[in-house]
Amino acid sequence: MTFALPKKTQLLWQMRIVFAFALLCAAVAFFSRYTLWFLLPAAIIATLGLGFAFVYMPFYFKSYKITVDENSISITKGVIIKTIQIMPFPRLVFAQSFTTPLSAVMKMKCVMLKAARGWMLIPEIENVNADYLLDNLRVKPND
Amino acid sequence: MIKTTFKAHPIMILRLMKPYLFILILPLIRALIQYITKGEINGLLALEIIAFCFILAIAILRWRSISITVNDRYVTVKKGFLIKTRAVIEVSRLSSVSLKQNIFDYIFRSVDCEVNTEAGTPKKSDFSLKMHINDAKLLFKLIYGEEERQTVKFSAYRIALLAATTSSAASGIIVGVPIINQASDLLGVAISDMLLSEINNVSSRFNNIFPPIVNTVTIILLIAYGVSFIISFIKNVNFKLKSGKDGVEVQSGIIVRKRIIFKKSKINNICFEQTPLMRLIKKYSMRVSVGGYGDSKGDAAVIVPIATHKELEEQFAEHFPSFEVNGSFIRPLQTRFNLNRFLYIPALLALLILGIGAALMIIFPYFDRLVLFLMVVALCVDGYYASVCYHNYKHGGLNISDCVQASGSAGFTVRELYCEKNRIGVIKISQTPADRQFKTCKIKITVRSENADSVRVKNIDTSTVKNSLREQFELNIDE
Repeated sequence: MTFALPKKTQLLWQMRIVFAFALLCAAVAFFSRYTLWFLLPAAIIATLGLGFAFVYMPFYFKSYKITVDENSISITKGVIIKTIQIMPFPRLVFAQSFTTPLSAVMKMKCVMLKAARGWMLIPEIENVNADYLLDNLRVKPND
Repeated sequence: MIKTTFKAHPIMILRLMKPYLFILILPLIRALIQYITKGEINGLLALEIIAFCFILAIAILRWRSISITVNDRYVTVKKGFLIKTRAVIEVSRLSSVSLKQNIFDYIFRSVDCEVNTEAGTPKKSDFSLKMHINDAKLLFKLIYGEEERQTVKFSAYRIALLAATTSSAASGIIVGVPIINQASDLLGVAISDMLLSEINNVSSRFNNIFPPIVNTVTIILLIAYGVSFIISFIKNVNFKLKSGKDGVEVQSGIIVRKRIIFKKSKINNICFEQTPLMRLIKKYSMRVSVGGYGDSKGDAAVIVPIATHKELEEQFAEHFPSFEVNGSFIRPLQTRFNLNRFLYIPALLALLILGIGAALMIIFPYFDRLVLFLMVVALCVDGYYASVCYHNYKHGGLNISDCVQASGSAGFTVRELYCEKNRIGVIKISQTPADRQFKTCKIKITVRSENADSVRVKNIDTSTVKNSLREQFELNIDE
């Protein structure tokens, strides 16, 4: 079974990135009261932030493919450098979900699959799907 | 199906506020005492009270959000009120559960419960919470069930020997220095300066060939070692091992009582270990490696604190029969020439130390006594290294069957490692030019676990090792 990330995940991360870059931009722009030259790095940061949020992130989240089969779960992602992360079920020790206030409002959860000395992170997915993963991944055949 | 949910004990609030103890809580208490006794108000008091109330409110909310649910298959841990986390762990995937109780816990009938798996950060528990003692006992029962366990007690003398042979001045300094500094800050007294002047005073009374700085450093190291010894003794005294058919339970401590339980099937490997000081009294300790166990470097899962090799073998056969090996033991060739191969490095090092020492004495005649002292220390360390090399020649070797036994050393610790074949993570075979000439090799076995224990076996026959590996692991290795 292969599935992609919902559109809401992209929106959530765009909001987070815009907020983080806006904060950074405001902090740098604050120093423009001493010299206007500080507006230049502030403008660069704002451009980078917007580019990152509205150009790179859509491609990045579009590249996400999560495949669950009988024996393993694998995640394919990446725009410039493509990576495939595979976790065989016998190596899975436990699954953990995270909910932040913003993701709770959007009814989404992030899932982390932990193995000895390694982990795999699935970005925010719908609550129903996250709970399904948490409740079903762990009953796969283990060694 | 039994399902039980446990909430955290209210004392968890204090634990959540612990990081702010020195920067907020103690200064606030001091300011309040100052206000009551002298009528003086610190300018920051109002701000400190607001910050304290804020942190207290956060701690209460975090405490309320913690819960642990257990049923016959899964353990679910929930925590966090802003960022909420929910972890679901299969009971069969748990490595160990430990309970720790200090004096405050004893008064409030609480206990520090740590749930460990293989997937956590090394030397750190995965989930830790304060629970009511009765809840924790019930949790133990739900997870591990109840079985008859044979109890082995170890005397205070043995624990003192363990503490004496595993303590180090370095750990004493790591523990002692921050305490002295914090106490100095709180009391407003330069305790460290007082201590140093007293040590200088005492060291100046000793007359020997070594310079006064040597005496001072020796006294500081001895004090640090003493601190480390006392801590280790208090931590391990009252040691009890309870071994059943499936599980092992270890209890220790007086002031802080610790109880840990794990299934024998979750043991990654068993080690007989001999530290340098243990080597002087010809004793070993036995420890097991269980994923996630322990929250600091000194917290090895010791099963038998200290015993002779023969006693350990008996305990091993009694408690862990599934780890017994039945193949043939591959060991270095017992010839005079091979012994020289083991001992040539310490011999070269000894010559190097003597040469450098003599040269330094000639170049810096003013520091001759200090150089002499350093030379004596270096020669002692080299002598110990030679004894480890001799041990590797006499008792080192490898046995690969369904269980693997590897005897050798890891650094300055003599180690005998036992583990199941399928727990081996990495096998590294290396050959120096001399090895290639004499058709021998050095082999390093590393266990696939959080601790990643390893042992190095030197100068054993290459073809025998490769044959054994081919047979047991079905590997395709070249000749």
